[in-house]
Amino acid sequence: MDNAVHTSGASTQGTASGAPLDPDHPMELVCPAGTPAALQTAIDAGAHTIYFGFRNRTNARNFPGLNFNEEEAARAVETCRKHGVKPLIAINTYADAEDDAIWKRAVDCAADLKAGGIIACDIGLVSYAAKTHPDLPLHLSVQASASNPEAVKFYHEAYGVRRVVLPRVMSVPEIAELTAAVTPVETEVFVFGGLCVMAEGRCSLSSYATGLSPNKDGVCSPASHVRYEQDGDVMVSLLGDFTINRFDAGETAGYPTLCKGRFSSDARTGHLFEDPMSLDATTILGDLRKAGVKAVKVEGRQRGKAYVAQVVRSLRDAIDGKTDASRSSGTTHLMEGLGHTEGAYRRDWR
Amino acid sequence: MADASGLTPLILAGQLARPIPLSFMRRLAAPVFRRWVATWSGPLSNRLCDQTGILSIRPVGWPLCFDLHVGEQGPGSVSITLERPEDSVPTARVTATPEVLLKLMAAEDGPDGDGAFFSRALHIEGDTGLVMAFRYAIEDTGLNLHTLKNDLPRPFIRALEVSTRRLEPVHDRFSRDLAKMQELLLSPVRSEIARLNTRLKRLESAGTGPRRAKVVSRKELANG
Repeated sequence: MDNAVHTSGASTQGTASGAPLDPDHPMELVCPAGTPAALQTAIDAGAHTIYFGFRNRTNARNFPGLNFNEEEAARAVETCRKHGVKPLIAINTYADAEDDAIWKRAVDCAADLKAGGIIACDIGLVSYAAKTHPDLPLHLSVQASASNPEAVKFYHEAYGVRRVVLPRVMSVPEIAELTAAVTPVETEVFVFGGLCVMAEGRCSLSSYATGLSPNKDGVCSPASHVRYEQDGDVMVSLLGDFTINRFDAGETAGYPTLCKGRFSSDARTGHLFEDPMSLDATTILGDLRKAGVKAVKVEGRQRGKAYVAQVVRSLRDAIDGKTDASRSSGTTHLMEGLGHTEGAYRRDWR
Repeated sequence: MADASGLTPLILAGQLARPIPLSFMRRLAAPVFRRWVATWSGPLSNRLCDQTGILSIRPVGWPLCFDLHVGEQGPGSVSITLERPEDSVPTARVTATPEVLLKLMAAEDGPDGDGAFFSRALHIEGDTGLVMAFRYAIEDTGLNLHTLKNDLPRPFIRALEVSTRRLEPVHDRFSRDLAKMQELLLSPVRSEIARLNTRLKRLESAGTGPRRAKVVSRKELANG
């Protein structure tokens, strides 16, 4: 992907259509939390909704030392309630065919805690949640990759799904068309953070290299298989047995994922799938609002409090009309590869 | 965030401290470390309970490093020792200039390790899982320079505050002077590298021009 690349810390001018944000009808800001401390930071920074996951394979950020045990999750739900913030629990991996106990347990726990909803992708698990806990609001995860009205309507009619997180492959006009077609189902889109290779829920690159799957184990490039080596001033990143990148001295780095790797062929060496950079759709918030999008989401449960504080504050100010949303968020120093893109929303690479 | 290359005042200070015996430094640090471990090992263990190994924090140019021993005395246990980098055999290593490490640890919102890593100011080697878990643990418990400072005996805190206040402007001035000096010293080398790069590119482009098809005889074809 080689689209709308901005690597300077300076703001980027212009929006897709220049649609203004209406402060009287703000979009819901959905923010990540990997730890209770990050959750408190998100609340303080102005999150409307916070999503987090349990410490196991049931969520797509199953990293060492990250996430919430059941006790912490209970406290997190309570804290959110106290501050008028909606807590969502991400159970966004696919259950094992032979044993889905931990996934069902996660759904039961979220229901017992009276969370504001769960974000799920496994159709069996969505069905289980709908039957067992009919009062538990269901959001369809981006991992389900539902990108047409038929798919969204099916999830709504069969299981009562209230909101769908759209895959990051759609342009703003496509989002507007789908949103209008699936009413009353709400649409939510990512506006900030890491970008995937646009095969969400279906990507097997990490599984190929490590045997562990982002979709089933919750680990894209599991830490146990990631290694960095210094070769003089050059940083080499390895995933399993594969060298996936070499960063020269002074060159900015990205996540150690195969999709951001650099590959060599006879013709050239370069990023085959996508460049290492972050999504920042701050400049098109007005267009997304106009497209009928109900909620905008920040990726990054694996990121720290500094990221959560600065990104959430910046987006909240833009949504509330306190800052000029036609300018980018000024958070380039927090971004992967220190560069940003508006991704598929603009699609100006076509 | 500064790159891990280039001289900084604290790197030079570290070099000047090289003659100080490690045993003396250890004796000096021991009561502070004991206090920190007593206060923080419990809270940290929540996010470190699945980890074992030694995480070595290495300020560039310093004659010593901080080795955190995780899980040696049971799940989630943490202890800390001062080591010579050449003698330390860690499971994971985090390396940055002392300035970058201090800045990360002093940040009000917690260290943005990812940003520092993306900018190449911070280097990670070895067990990535241990580094990640440690980072989440210190962030979640609120461990940073300010809280660590507050765990010190009161006279130490006062002395530290006074010296920090006085040394900060000196450090900033010295950083600027050092940067200028390095720029002056390195500019001839950079010019030479740029010249060689241009020459190399020219040679490469000359070598990748369209090749004329080779005429092959029937005899050559028959011989493969």
